[in-house]
Amino acid sequence: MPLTVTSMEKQPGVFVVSPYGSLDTNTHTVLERKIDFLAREGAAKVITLDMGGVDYISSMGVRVVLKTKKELSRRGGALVMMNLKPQIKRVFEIINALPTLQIFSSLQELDDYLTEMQRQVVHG
Amino acid sequence: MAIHSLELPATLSSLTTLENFVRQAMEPAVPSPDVFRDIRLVLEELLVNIVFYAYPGEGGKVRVECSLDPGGKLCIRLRDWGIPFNPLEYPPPRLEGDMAEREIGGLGIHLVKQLAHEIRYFRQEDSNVLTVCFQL
Repeated sequence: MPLTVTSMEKQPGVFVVSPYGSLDTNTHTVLERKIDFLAREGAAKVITLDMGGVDYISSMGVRVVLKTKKELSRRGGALVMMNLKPQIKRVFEIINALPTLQIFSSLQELDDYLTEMQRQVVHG
Repeated sequence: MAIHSLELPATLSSLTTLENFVRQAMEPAVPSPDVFRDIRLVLEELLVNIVFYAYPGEGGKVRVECSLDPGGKLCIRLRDWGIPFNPLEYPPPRLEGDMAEREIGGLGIHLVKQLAHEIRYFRQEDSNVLTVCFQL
């Protein structure tokens, strides 16, 4: 199954990226390229991966997520995820990545988080 | 017990053929979508390992054998003629600590070890033989 990726800028530097399909060995570069593009052209600081459309992930897909998280953290940004299907959550669970990933269950929760981040930036 | 076998080029593009072959070998058993997804994931990770570790920088072939016993146990055996590589001896990824600090690597093998119900490796003459089994 192929992978398509759409993105939306919620605030300057804050993107919601929505992969749709199978995030695996043969498709992970589609997501990687999109994220690289947003980092380069959109100065992305915070990326929310909306995983609601992903029904399969392999270690190559997991690597893209971990790598993105690492790069955004290094630049003082963040990677958060939302809408993980049970089978996707399980893969992250097996590699014990869930405790360090921020996962939201709704856009409202995400908005609250972003508002809080914004507040911290403004008020130091 | 019928044994199905197939030989494929050791390339990532063989994955779909490999998946379809295993799916056919399972018939008439119908695994739950969850078990089939695990099988698919294990096949992908094992093929990736063969492509990158057994045949680094060169081509090769993979032989697949599948058997399904009357109790519903599916065993998939993958054989390659690449450099000796026992994935079971590959050090587990460092799972503790903040993920941003973790090494990225070894995740695939870790997934295979956790998802396969049984896993065995042996080196036979000039080939690596890895067997994974699932209770359907």
